[in-house]
Amino acid sequence: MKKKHIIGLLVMVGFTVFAAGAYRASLTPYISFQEARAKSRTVQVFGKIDENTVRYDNRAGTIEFDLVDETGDTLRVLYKGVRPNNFEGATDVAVIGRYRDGVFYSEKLLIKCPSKYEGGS
Amino acid sequence: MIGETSIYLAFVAALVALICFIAAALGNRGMLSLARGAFRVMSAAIVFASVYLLFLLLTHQFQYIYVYSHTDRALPTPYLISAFWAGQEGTFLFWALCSALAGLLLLGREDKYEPWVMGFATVASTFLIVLMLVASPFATFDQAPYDGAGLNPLLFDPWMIIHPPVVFVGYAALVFPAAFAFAALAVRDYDGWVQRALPWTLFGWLALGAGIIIGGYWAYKVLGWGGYWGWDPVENASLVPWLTGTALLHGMLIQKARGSFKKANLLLSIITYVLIIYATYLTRSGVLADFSVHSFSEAGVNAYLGLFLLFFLFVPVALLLYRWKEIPSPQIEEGVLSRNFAFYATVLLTCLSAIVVSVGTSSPIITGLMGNASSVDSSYYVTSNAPLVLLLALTLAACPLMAWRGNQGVALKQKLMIPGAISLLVTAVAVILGVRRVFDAVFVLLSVLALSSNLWALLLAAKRGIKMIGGYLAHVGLAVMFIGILGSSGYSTSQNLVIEPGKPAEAFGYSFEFKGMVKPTPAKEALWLLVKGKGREVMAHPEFYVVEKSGQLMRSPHIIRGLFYDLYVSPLDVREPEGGDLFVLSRGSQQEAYGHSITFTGFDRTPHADGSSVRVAAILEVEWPEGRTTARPSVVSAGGNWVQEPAVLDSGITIWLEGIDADGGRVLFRVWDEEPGAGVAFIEVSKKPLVNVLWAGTVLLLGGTAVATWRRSEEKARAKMAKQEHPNRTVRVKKRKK
Repeated sequence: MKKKHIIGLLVMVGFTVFAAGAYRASLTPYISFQEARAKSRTVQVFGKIDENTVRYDNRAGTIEFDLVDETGDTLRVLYKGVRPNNFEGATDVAVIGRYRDGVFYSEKLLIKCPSKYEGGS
Repeated sequence: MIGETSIYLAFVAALVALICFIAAALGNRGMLSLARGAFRVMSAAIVFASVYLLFLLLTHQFQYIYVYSHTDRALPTPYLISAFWAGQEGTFLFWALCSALAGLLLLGREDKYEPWVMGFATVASTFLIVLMLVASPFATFDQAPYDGAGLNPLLFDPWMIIHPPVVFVGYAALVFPAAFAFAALAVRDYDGWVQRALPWTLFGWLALGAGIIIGGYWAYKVLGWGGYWGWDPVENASLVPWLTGTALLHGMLIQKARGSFKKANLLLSIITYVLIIYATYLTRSGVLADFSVHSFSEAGVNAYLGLFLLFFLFVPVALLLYRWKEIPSPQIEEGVLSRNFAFYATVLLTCLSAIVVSVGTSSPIITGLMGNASSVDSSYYVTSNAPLVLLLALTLAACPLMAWRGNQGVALKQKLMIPGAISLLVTAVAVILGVRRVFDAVFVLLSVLALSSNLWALLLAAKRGIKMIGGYLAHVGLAVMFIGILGSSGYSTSQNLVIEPGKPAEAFGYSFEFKGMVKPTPAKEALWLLVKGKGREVMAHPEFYVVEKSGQLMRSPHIIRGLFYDLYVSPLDVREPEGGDLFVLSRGSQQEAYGHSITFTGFDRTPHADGSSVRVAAILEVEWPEGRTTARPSVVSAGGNWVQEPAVLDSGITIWLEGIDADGGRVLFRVWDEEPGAGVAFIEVSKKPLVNVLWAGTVLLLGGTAVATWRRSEEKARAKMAKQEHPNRTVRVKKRKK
């Protein structure tokens, strides 16, 4: 075997192990509210925002709202971060975060636009 | 009708061209002129269809669904043109147009390669035409609506006019490396194709890179979340072929110089094009719709896209495997400290990065097969790419210091002295300025080393002619980008500010004073902020606007650009002045405030004509010593947001409706006897270091690639001339023996 191939192989094997670890750690499964309440890791839930429950705290930079899934189950979400551009008027959202003491803490929201507009590219 | 007919004509011509190119490729050279003719007819039909679509867009022919969906009468002309590629059907037409025009450049050239290359390219064009037959840009309504639905307001940006076409020009150009690889396998010439395909690889890589960068620039400027890259599936989908394209580019350069990498280059050419189709599949088919901020349209093209993908994966790869054993793999053993090894490392690292990003992007599909579809968050991409980028920076720094065949230790040390000293100095400064993590410090060290060593190599190369600096210039740009990316993504800080009237708020050594609201256009409202600090005084006007057609409230940031950092001002909210007194009233009850007697008599609920918003007013009978009136303070819902509209009375008091309990028949309102002032503004200010350094780096990278494309195109033309002058001598890539 040539030297460069040995080095290449070592880099690849070492890296694969490393990347697999990073992959497992950051996997955020899409799960139901019920499952989310039972887990302490970062997960992804999907539902509709109950418009009447949205509360903004501009000083703290947070948004609180109730997320309702298709079975009618409700999850209180506390989102901290930049308010997504099309947050108002959004109904369907994917929320990524973790559940703790009755509240789903999130730092990332994915908004589904009601329109059929396509994205950037 | 005319549009559809021209697409059918293009389809028939494409089939004829395809059959004739295959016949010519299999030895019947007489079919070649017929094939070329049919290809020209196909191209003409596609050009005609494109011009016709443009005409429909410019003349507001709303009976065409595509025109209706992406434009309206109020749209300025540049955006009417850009609506061509605003939707799926139009992008396929535009892609087909670029492919056809690029194909015309190759017709009648490329000798024995021509029928194979053009046949391959014609298959690609045929697939695009089939997609248009399935989802036609010329589909019509029975009756023409008076006005269109309009363009997505997020796309109202000059960068968005050019972003999609630049990406698709890249996609169209990158079919040719794959076509030449296929032709090379067919004619069993495993070296000659590289010189022919290299300019196309460079050009396609340049266009795709420019498209990706423009997309990032647009995201930073318009989307308002403060970043230029979010590891969104749509972004990743275009990044992956660009990464394998990077590997291909470097692989081709090694093959030209040293004769190695023959198999890898054939494979990379094919894979890059397959990944482009896969990118189209991911972004157009809706498989990732639940995992992306982008919305997707589904138009029933999935099966065809899948077929497209499988064809370009299996046919060339099958041919590659069939030829595998006869492709020579020259054994070149060179030290680790050689330029040869640096290229090898580049190919390896960019391929690994491409794999990591595709695994992450495809994660919902992969995990979906095992049951529970999951996506990965952006930390995965950052963590897994970090070591790769670090090694890439090391390679970038080392490459210009070494010769192809390896260095003597002494020469390397001498060359390392000055760049090494510079980078140590800069790293020390960076640590003093606040770079704390060890990884970051090493990354700064390597990036600056890469910058200085490539700059030095560039100056040496410039003596041999300006054409020779392309690669070094691109690498200087990449090193500059590395520094910019680290600064802007790793060291960005932000603060939420509440700015009350007359009380400027402080952040990052600047003061922000809220002067009121302004209307830059009738449909938009902007905060009017006076920003002072560091000897500068700037007006900032981050905007709010409601998109009438969808009812979304949008925010666009104001960016105060600086050499060392950008201040990124995002509007969060604005509230009318607080003060006065709060009261709760039930229906029929009365309250005394500021010498006025206020009675709440009932609600007045008026839905807006189109049902998208509703106004709720509280009806208040107000009496004061000098007069009486009926006040109607109200709230209006606009896309889920409630906007207050206070009632201003002649007597000098203002009443805001603060809350409604419709079931209980109660209202909460605020009475105040002061003039309504500027109110309270809520903003988020972020300090983003070195963003301009990043943009400068991208310009250098693209500029350097453009120079390299120019050089390699001239080389190709010269090789062709030489061959014409000496038809009996085959021009071959020089092969050095060990």
